[in-house]
Amino acid sequence: MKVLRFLKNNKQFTVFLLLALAIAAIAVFAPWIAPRDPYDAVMSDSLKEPGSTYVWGTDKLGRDVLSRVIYGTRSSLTMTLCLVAVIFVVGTALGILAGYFGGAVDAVIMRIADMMISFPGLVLAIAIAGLLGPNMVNAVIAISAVSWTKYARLARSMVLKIKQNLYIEAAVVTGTKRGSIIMKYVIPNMITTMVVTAATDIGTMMLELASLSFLGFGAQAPTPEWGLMLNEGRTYISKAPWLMIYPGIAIVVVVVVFNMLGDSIRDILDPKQE
Amino acid sequence: MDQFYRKIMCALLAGSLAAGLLAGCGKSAGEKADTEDTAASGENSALDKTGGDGGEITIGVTSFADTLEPTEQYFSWVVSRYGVGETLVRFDENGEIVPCLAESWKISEDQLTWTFKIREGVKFSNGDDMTPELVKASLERTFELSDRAVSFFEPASMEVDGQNLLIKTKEPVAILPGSLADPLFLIVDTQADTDAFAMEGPICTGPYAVESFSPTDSCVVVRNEYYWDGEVPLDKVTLKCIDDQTTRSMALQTDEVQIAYNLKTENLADFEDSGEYNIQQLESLRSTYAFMNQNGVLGDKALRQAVIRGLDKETYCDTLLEGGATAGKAPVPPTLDFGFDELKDENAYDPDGAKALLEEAGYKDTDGDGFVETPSGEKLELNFVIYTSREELNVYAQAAQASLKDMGINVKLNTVSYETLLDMRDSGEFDMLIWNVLVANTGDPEKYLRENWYSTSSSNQMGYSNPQVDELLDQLVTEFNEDTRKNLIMQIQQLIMDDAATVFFGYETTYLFSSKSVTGVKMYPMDYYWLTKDISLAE
Repeated sequence: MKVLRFLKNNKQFTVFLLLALAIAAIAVFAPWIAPRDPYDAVMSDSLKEPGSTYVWGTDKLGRDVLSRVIYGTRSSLTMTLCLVAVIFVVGTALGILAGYFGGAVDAVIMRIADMMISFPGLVLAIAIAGLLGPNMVNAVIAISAVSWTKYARLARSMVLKIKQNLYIEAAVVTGTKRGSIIMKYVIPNMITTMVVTAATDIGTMMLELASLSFLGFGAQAPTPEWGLMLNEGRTYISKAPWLMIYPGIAIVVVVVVFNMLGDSIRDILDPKQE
Repeated sequence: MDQFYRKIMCALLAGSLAAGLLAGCGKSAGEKADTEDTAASGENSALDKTGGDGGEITIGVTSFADTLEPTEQYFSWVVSRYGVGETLVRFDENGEIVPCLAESWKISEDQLTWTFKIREGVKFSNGDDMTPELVKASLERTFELSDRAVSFFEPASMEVDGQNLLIKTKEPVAILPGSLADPLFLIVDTQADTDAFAMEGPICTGPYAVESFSPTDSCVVVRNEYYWDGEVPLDKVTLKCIDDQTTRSMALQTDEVQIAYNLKTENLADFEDSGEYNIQQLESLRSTYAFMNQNGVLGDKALRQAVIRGLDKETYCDTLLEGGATAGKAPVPPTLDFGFDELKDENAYDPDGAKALLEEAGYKDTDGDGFVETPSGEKLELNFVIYTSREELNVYAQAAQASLKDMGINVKLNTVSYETLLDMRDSGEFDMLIWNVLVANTGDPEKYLRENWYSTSSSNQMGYSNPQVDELLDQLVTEFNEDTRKNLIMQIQQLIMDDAATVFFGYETTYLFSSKSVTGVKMYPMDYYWLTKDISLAE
């Protein structure tokens, strides 16, 4: 009952949560939803227009675009969630260390962070992905390397603020161990803001991954990945626009849903809104 | 109240952003207008100077040159294509050898000495006279700096006799004049600062001279005031590197470039219906194939055969490339008469046969991932290296990947730039590596066969070695009789095919799209010549 009432009171959140779950379900149940094997190349059906046989048409090699877009949800979603999880954990942890211990630790971590943000993010990510070699995992590593700083800075400033509170001083005076102070008093007071940041970041990160794939530094052929599909379809834009339209729509829809979900979560969790 | 302020702030921010954007656009538009102004005035002053003619065009090209040093890699092609470099002899539009910097040539009785009569009155773009001594120095420089040069022929000596250049060889070399037409042997002024050739462009005798060069961006060439063969019509030509096919096609449609090279069948739809473009088409002498590295897993002939038999090249060419290529099977395309139809292809498309062959050779899927393992139980993953500037390579590679997946052979595509591809070839870091090359770069396939399949050739990094092929290739060098040559070349081709040494994907049809605002654009079967003295603005 409590859950239901909560969902009823936060209609926007409910709607987008359902949509996000639907997207996740598409990813999980892709083999049952997709009409065809996304890798199955029927070369005689190259560049078939959308119609009754192929609802969203076929690509150059005669692969079903609809199936590929559906399977694309899998790679896009898992990679994005991994990416956000990595930068959330790494960034927050480093930020807490820097903020709580200060001094040399702070200087080292934050100067590295400064170095990272002194380049345009995507350009540096391209450089890193280029160095590591193009594949999905390296794309995640590359974007993580340039995106963790945001979390580190946020976490650090929050820790600095929390540290000045009397309850922290009290804990220190009563001889609580550092680990316990961080786990029991610091993290619980900042975690909501961090989660909100992570939630609103999902859409952006998905776009960045797709951009890397589009530029050829992320997923490699024949993986069905939206960014890569856009790139493959680019050559045939005047002849077979469906190759770009459908993956494009997929990206827009999923990014909008996750952005709105992130916004709703922020509205609910952000204490300032209350 | 708080909310209200926030909204106001948001509105202000958005407003300033929009303003910034508009300002940005406005500025760039203004700048463009400025450059156009200066260009126009530059044109006017040129008009004043030369009295009537002149003009500028931009050509959209794909380029692979890091530098303009002609002895490095294949960069001399670019120098020749940009109308900068010229050779002693050249090919005309029928692929026949015609005089260029040499007026005539003849061979001695013993077939060991070639005499080239060097054209008089030719000047380099810096005003120096092109003397036979300088021609000799230039050729010597090429032999000294390029390890590719000796694969054409090895001169025993070069001598100057009046206006003649005598080239002596130890063995008779039948294709010597054709070899000298290869851009590698373009004539440079060795008295000039040769170290500056790489970035500032070589000093040559062509209709245009390099003004500025930026490897990935563009190369600007200006009229060579000292050109020997008539008036050069254009003041300045910008050769803009647009590696991406779609972008190049769009650049032509927006008139950003007036000529676009290397466009394909996909682009026909964009230009066919409009009356503003000239479309030329040529069954080319280019062959697209993939080396198979025998120093790796592909050392096993059964696997190579299975790979070739698993590829449905007819469908790739007819359906996927929409007839933009003819399906391949042999090294030399049917456009040249070297017995294409008589060659027997035992590795024609046969997916079931390929599977049976794999099975027989011990390739089985033991871990159930859908891909076969090698007979020794190791994972089999073929590293297929392709490059980006030719769109059809990607189609071939992806189609091959899909077809071989059905065979149970796992192929990983590795897309790199052409420069990287060259390095990877030289270091042998590949299982399969795509290659697209002009088959008759000396007017005859001998050089091409020798370069790629002779066991000790520096370009043969795939470890292919067949003593019989080597022997026949050696015979071919000294053979002057046309019929015997054809026979030898057929035998060599058959051997290469039987060894399943290389995947021959297809022979492409090349297209050249140009705006009707320029005239004199011609396609040559040997694509060494892009910008020529014939290209000018239409009246």
